[in-house]
Amino acid sequence: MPHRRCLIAALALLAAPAVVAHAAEPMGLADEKPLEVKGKVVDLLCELTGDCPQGCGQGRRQLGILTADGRLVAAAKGAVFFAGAVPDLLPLCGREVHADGLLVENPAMTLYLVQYLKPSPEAGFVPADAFLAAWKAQNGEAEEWWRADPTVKAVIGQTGVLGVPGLKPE
Amino acid sequence: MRSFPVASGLGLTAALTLLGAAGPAAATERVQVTGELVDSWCAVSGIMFAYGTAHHQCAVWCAVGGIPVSLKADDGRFYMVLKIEGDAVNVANPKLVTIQGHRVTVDGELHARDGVNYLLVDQVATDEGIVNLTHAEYGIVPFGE
Repeated sequence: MPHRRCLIAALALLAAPAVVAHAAEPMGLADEKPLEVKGKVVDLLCELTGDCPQGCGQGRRQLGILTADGRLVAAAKGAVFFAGAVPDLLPLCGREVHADGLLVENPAMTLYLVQYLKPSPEAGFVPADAFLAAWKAQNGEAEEWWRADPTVKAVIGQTGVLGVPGLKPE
Repeated sequence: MRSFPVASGLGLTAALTLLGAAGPAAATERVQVTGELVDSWCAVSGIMFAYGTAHHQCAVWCAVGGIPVSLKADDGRFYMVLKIEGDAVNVANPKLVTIQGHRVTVDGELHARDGVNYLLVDQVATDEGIVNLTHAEYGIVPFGE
């Protein structure tokens, strides 16, 4: 169906070879700016409140990048469809990261899409797709992780696709 | 809402750091906010219609995928939820996953910093469920299924 093909084509802009020199991919979003960000990987809640569990929350906390001049960049999205960037940034908790992606400066909220990052200063950019590897390790292969995920199935099974029990698409 | 100037990476090969004055410490205040819980990325980026019944399924996908959940207030402001009723787990938190799309009123602590309103919810005062019935107009977004 056309809508699905268009969306997948847009999202596929994120697909990339394993290592690239420079790579932010514009997506045509309003307010987007391709941007490289260098800074320290931090737990957002820790940075804001001082509530700092070990290891940036070990995957249970949203992460950001704190730049040398004190800007806190919320890394909301990674390069995997419908998935965040925490699995990509977590191994670098408390360390410097060099990320490449899109900063979306919506006047109502500024978010960063991490498309690529350098796992070490000497390394090249690699896609920020760690979520998928982690998901597959836990759940096995699937064409669309978002439909195969057991938590998703349980929630949608209870509420239906519209989120209102008993209400069905027309 | 504060915003800050940044340098575009378009056409540049050298890595950039964000430009501008040093970021301010987060301003903190007590707030009560009413609105719809949404997927932050779809709603803020505008990549697709991201509200109500039409987008409920995708909002669940994204919350399970670890994208932050935000509260879009009736005045149009977004608040990224970093804590929910004492629970500091904010990646795929089961509570947030199951109330995606609900219209709620929450009490909490607001930390505003560098273009983001971060909300630490103490209490969900009211939960009306999903009341934004958008599927008749938009279908199911994305993919239509």
